[in-house]
Amino acid sequence: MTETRKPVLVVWTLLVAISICSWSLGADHGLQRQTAAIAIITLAFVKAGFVASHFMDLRHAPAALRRAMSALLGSSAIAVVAFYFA
Amino acid sequence: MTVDESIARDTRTDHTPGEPGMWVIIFGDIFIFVGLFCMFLWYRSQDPPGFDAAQQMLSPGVGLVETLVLLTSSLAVVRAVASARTGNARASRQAITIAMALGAVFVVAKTLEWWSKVDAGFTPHTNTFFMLYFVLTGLHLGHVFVGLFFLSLVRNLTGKAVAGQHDFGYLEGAGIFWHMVDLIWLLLFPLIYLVH
Repeated sequence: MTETRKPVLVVWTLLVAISICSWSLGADHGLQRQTAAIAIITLAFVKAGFVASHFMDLRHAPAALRRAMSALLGSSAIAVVAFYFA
Repeated sequence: MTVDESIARDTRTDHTPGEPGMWVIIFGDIFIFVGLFCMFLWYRSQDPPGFDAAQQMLSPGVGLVETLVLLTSSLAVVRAVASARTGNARASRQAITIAMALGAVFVVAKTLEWWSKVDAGFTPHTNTFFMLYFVLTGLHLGHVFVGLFFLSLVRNLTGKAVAGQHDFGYLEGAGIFWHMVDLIWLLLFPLIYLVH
């Protein structure tokens, strides 16, 4: 297994685990609805960040591109949470 | 396919993946989809009980399977790019084929999911929730088709005798587009299927 393969497999496994965790939060949980919703939205944007950095390979990209994607995903997460509470 | 020296020499630092113009599309698409998600949540805020009741008619388990299929497809695309970078055309082509096959599985799963909803009497005309459900998942499915088209184009490129920097850029660009399709689904699935 190559050096580049290992971290990507770890990230994929993490993404699968988070997806199952989010699904279980949405299906049946002991949390309050709003707490579960915020957790699910946060986990969704965490997954998006992993896809951008490790799958799209932005971790090796110029800082400006990395920062632009972080700003887009960060502001999007804030907007989505704000509209959830609208 | 042998590999161009400029690709093999790639230092992997400060490297802009794909064609720079592709990033305009990526940022624009994510921005538009997030705007649509905000619109969905705004409509939801107008009728939370109605949206929650309609959401109960969806199949989160199917959505989870679709998520895992797209994630695995993205992993295959990462392998395709990594293999092309080291000059292993055969492995790259195989990985793209696997990614496309999984993309096709997603299309079939989504079609069956839609079919089951329509069969149960839920159409875009049923209520606002189902109108937004079909529009958002439909727009995403359109991106899946575009992504599959891009992957089919670069799959042919991997068969070329010598791959240059431009060919590799196209492969990376198609890969980034496919990852964006994955990224948007990772946001869309929880918002529509899971958030109450």
